Amino acid sequence: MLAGLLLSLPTPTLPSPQAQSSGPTEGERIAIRAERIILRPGVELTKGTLLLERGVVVRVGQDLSIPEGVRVVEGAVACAGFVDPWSSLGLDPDSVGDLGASAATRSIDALDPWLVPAERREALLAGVTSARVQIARGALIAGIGALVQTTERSEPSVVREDACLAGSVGVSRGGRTGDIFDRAGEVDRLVGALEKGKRYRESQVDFKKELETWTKAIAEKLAELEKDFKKAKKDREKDEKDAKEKGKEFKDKKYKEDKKPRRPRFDPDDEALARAVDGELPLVVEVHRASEIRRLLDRTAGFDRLRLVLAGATEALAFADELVERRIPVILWPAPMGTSRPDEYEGHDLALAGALAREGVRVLIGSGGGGDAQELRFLAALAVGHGMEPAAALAAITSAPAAVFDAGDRLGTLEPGRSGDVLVFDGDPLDTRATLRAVVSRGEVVFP
Amino acid sequence: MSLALFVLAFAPGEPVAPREGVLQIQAAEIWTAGGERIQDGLLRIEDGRVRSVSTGKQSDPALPLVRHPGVVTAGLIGLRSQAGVGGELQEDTRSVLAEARAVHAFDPAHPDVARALAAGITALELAPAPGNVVGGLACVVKTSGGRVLTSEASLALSLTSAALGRSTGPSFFVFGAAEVPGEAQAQPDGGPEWSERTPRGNREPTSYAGALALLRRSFAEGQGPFARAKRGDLAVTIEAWDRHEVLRAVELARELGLAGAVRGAPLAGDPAVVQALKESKLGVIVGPYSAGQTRASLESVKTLAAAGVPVAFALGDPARSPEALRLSAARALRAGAPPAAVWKALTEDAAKLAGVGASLGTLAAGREADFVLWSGDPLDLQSRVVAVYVDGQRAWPAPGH
Repeated sequence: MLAGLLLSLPTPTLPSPQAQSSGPTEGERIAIRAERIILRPGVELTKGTLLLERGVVVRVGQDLSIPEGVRVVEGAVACAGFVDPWSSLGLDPDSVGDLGASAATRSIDALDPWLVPAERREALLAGVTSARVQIARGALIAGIGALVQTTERSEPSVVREDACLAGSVGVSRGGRTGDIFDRAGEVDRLVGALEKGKRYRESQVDFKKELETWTKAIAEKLAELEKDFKKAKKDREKDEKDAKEKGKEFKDKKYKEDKKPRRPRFDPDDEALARAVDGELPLVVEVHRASEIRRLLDRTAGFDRLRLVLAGATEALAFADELVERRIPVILWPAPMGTSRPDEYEGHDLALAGALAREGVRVLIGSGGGGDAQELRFLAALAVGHGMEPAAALAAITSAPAAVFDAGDRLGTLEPGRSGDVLVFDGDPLDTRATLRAVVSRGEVVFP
Repeated sequence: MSLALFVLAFAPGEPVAPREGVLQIQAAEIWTAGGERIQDGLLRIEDGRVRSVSTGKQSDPALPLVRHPGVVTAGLIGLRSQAGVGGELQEDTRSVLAEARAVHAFDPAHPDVARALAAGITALELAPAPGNVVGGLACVVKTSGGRVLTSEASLALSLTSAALGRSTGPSFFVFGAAEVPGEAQAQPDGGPEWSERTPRGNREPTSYAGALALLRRSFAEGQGPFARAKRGDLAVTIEAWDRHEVLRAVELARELGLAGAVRGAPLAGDPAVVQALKESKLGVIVGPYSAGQTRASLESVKTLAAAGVPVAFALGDPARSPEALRLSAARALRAGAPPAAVWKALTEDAAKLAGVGASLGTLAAGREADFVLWSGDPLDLQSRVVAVYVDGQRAWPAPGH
C-alpha cells in the first residue's frame, strides 16, 4: 500500500493516437472515492480518490479536493475495469464459427454493433469493460483480433484494431479432433505459414536493398554521362558524319541499363503473418495437448521476434520453465468442466492457473469466447479457490491482458492517463459475495 | 498443504486411548441449524453423528481434537445427479417404471463420486433421467464409504416434452426456451441447457394430455410407489421445465395429494407460477446455472425464497463439474438472492427436497456427521475445501495424504 501517494498530471494525456473511439464524453467529470483503490494488482491506496475527466483518469490521490459540479461515486473498493483476453463479445456469430478465415481477416470487420446489445450490457454490468475479440474460433489461422471497449452503443470503441494474430492447433472442430499425426501436421502448417510470412518480409527487405543499389548505380551512371556530355556529343557528331560519308546508316550507341528490381507482389495474408513474425503483433495460438505444445515451442524457437501467446494450454504445466524463459504468456479459460467439455480439455484442471503463476508464467484469464464473459471475476475467484494468489488472479483479468495486447498504457490499471474504466465494489473484487455497485466506462457512469 | 492445518492435540501427560468414532473439531466459525454461525465453535462427533455444536471453550482434553482456522459447515448435497452411472438411468422402451431403482446403477468407486467429494459434496441424489413419465425411484448416497442413505428417496415423474413419444417438434429441446418469447432457441434458461430428444417411436404418451392421463391411471390403479406417494409416504420429484409444464405439475400434485418438488428454473418472471408453487407446498430444484443464463432464471432463487418456497440446486454431474453447485450459488447471489437463502438451498433445503432432511443438511445434534472444512466462507468461490468428513470419518484428502 502506498501511503500518502499522490500521482497527478498537470494536463490530462489523451489516449494514444491509435484510438478510434467515438471520443470521450465531453464535460463529464467524475470523482470516485473508495476505502481501497486498487491502482494495479498488489498496489493499493487507502481512502483514495480518483478524478476522471474527458474519459480518462486525470488524478489519483488521497487528499484530492473534489471540484464543484463533479459527480461523486463512493464505495468500498475500486479497481480497473476487467479486460477479457478471450472473447467474442459483439461479434457476428457466423464469423466467430467461421473456419475459413485467413491471416488478414480482421475481427474488427465482424463487430456487429446492432447485435444483442443486452449481452454487452450484461458483460458491462459484470465489470468487463474491454475485451480482445476474435473471430474464427478453432480455425488453424483465425485472422487478426481486436481490442475493444464494451459498449451498448452502435458505434464501437476500438482500442487496437489489430491486437494480435490468432490461430489454433489440435482443437475439436465440429465435435471432432484429429489423431496425433493430424495434430502434429497442424502445428507444421501453422509454422509453415509463419515461414511464408518470414520469406515475404525477407523478399520485401531484399527488394528494398536491391532498389537502393539499383538507384545508386543509375545515379552514378547518370552523373558520369553528364560529366562527359561534351565529349560524348562531339564523338556522336563525328560518328554520324563518318557514317554519312561512307554511305552507311548511323546507329546510336545503346546503353545497357540494369534491370530495375521488381517489387514483390503485395499479399495481405503474408503481410499479416510477417507482422506476427516481426513481433509487431502477438501471435495467440490455442493449443492444449502436451504433444502439440512441445512441437509448437520447438518449431517456433527460431523466430527471434515472434511474440507467442498460448491459449487454452490445458497441459502447459510441463513446459512452465520454457514458457518463463521465452516469456510466453498463457491465456486460460478456467471454467469448471464436466464430461460435456470438448475433447482437448480432457486434462482440464482448475488448479492450472495457480500452478503456472507460481512457476512464474504470466497467466491471463479469459472467458473462452462464451457466456463466461458475464462472470469473468467468478473464473478468477475459482482460480484463487484452487490455489492462485489473489493479486495474480486480479492481474489475470486486468493488467496482464492489457499489457499482452499492447494496451498497458490505456487499460488494466488506474493511473493518470488511463482510460476511465473503473469498477466500484462493496467488497473485494474477487469475493463472489461482493456486489458490483458502480461501473464507469470511458469516464461515464453506465451503472447504476 | 492442508495437512499443516491439522493439529491433533492430546492432553499432555495423560495416557489417552482415543475412543473409536469420537472427534472434536474446533473452528473459527461453525455454521449450524437455522443459518446460525457460531464463532470459535466446537463440533463434537460420536459414532458418525453430531453429538453437539457449541462454542469452543469446553473442548474435552481427553478426546482427539482437530483445529481448523476456517469455516466448518454441513456437506453440500447434489440433487439430480448421474455421477458414475453412465446412461444407466435412461430407459428407452417403457414410459412407466415405478419400481426402477436408481440405486442399482450406483458405483461408489467411480471417479465421478470422488470428484464430488473433493468439491465438498457429501451426498448425492441419483435420479432417473427425465425421459420417462415415471422414471422410478431416486436414491441418496454418500460420496465416501458407499453408504446408501435411502434407495427410495422419491418417485421421479416427468411432465417434460422429453418424456413424450414421437417427436413432432425440433430435434432437440432447449430448456425453458418457451419462457423467453422471441429470443433465439440457443438461449438456455436454466437446468440442463438442452436435452437430447430421442425419437421414441410411437411409445405412449405422445402428448401432455396423454402423459397426464397415464399418470392419473397409474396413481388410481397403482400399487407400490404410487400408493405410497398418494398416501404421502413417498415424495415425488416432477420434472417440469416450462411454465405450462410447471402449472400442470402443480395441478397434478394438488389433485393427487402429492408432496415433493418440481424441477424447473424459469419461474421467477411469472408471479402466477410462484403463487401456484407456494400454494402447492412443492419445493423447486433449479439449475445448475450455466454461463450466460438469463437474469429471469437466475433471479428465481431470490423470488422463490422470498415466497417461502423451498429451493435447492441440481448438480447435473458428471456432464457438469461438481463445482457447478457452488458456481450456481454464486450466480444466484449475484442476482440478488440473500446469502442465507442460497446456503439453505445448497444444504438444508436440498436435504429436505431429497427426502433426507431428518438426517442431513445441517450440523445439529443427532444429524449425520457429514461436514466440510473450508478455508473461508464457502459462498465465496475463492474459498477452498480443506477437508471433507463423511459419517464422522475423514474422507478427503484420504487419511495418510
